[in-house]
Amino acid sequence: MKKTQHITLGLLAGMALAFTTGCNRRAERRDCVDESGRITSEQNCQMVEQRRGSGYIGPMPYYHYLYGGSSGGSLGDTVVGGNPVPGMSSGSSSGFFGGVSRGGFGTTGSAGSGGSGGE
Amino acid sequence: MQRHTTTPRADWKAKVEKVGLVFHTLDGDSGNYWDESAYYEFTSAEVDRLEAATCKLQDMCLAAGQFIIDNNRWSDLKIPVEAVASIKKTWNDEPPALYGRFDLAYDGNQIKLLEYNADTPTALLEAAVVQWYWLQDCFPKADQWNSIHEKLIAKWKDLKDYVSEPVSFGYVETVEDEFTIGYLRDTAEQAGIKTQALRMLDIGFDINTFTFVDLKNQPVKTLFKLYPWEWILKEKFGARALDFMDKTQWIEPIWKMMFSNKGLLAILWEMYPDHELLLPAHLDGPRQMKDYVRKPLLGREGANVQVFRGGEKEQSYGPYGEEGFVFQALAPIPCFDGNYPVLGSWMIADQGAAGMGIRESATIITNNRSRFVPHLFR
Repeated sequence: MKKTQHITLGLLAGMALAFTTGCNRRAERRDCVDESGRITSEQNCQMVEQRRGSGYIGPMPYYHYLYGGSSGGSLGDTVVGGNPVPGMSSGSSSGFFGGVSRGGFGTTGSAGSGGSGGE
Repeated sequence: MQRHTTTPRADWKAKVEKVGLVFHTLDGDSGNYWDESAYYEFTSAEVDRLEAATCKLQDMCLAAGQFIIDNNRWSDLKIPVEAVASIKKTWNDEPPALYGRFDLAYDGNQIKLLEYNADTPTALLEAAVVQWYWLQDCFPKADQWNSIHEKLIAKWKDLKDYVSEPVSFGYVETVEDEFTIGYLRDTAEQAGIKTQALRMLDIGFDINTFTFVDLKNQPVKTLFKLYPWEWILKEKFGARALDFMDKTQWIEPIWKMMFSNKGLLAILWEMYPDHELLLPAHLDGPRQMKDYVRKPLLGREGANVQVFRGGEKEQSYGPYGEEGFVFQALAPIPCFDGNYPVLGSWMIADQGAAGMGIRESATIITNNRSRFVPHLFR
């Protein structure tokens, strides 16, 4: 006998289910970020928008939304590759934030050049 | 080796998707990538021969690696000078390595090495899992040369004390790569290792600590990458990967550049002339060969290959070849009703030869349009 006796799939089966049911088609993510591009409380952006809407004149905290991009998803994480305009995010995470530079790998294999990294 | 045609399972698409093969159909109208309208049947003795050949080839490649180092054959393989120190160090230190796939020509008699995909081999999920489920459904009493899944888990268990968790799995955003990475993560997690997926584009470099970091800015201490070393070294962070090699454990290690380079075929022929598992191969031209194949040293997926046969030339196109070529004698690939099968024989590090997947093409050149066809043996 040269075959595996039993195969159980966990993570992969979940990925496959999500793919086939369309659940991995994520809606564009929106994060509220500070001036450094770090994720902050949603309330900060809501407060800014409320003040703008009410005609408030005076110093305005620099909180805004970023659409798309990549991050760890937690408060304090840096969002990279996002765009202030919905539907415009490039998905690229290149940039330099807080001493961390990104986008230095993956360009050869990005869509339109080499494609898959496997063979 | 025999090829049989058969009727696919009625719900084959749903079945293969359920076990992760969501990329079962080729783009456009090119048909199915997963093709269970046929299968290959081997005898137990044939599988024993293929298994022994794979182990022998692995031993020969390991000797070739030492030969390349001892004889400074870097320029022959067009390996960048700046990578040599890291290659030598990782070769000697033996950091974790996981797997590789030998592509073999087999005509029922001769077994010949076509190339060794030792850095970023794919068609793994198909070989390890999908054809296994096909066998359970269609020929439950038959056997299959395929212990890839259990050997991968066994290897990760061996590595658990040597890697740093979470192990990051770097990938390019293609469906095939995402699911290949997903499968490898699954095997690692079944071995008790925490993992995370990380796009290669998202890997950061922290100039304060001189470390590669993930999206939480945490150091990436162990990185499995489905991304070839020759691409890594050409990119913006390539020099940093070399300069700070000691801060990230790379799987596969950079010494695999010696094996994934098709110049290895000429080195092997030089070391083992007339070996029964090898085809004549040269770096300086076809010499006296009349029927031969010219392959780019760093080619991928059958691109930029030229086949010279009977005075005629057949070729594929692509972006590769600037580093040079290897000239290899034409292999005895059999033709079954217009289908040319190439056997992908899997080697799991320290676990040995682990199984086989077969890619079938309408031409002698296997490429990214080739179909995966399952196998069994009795």
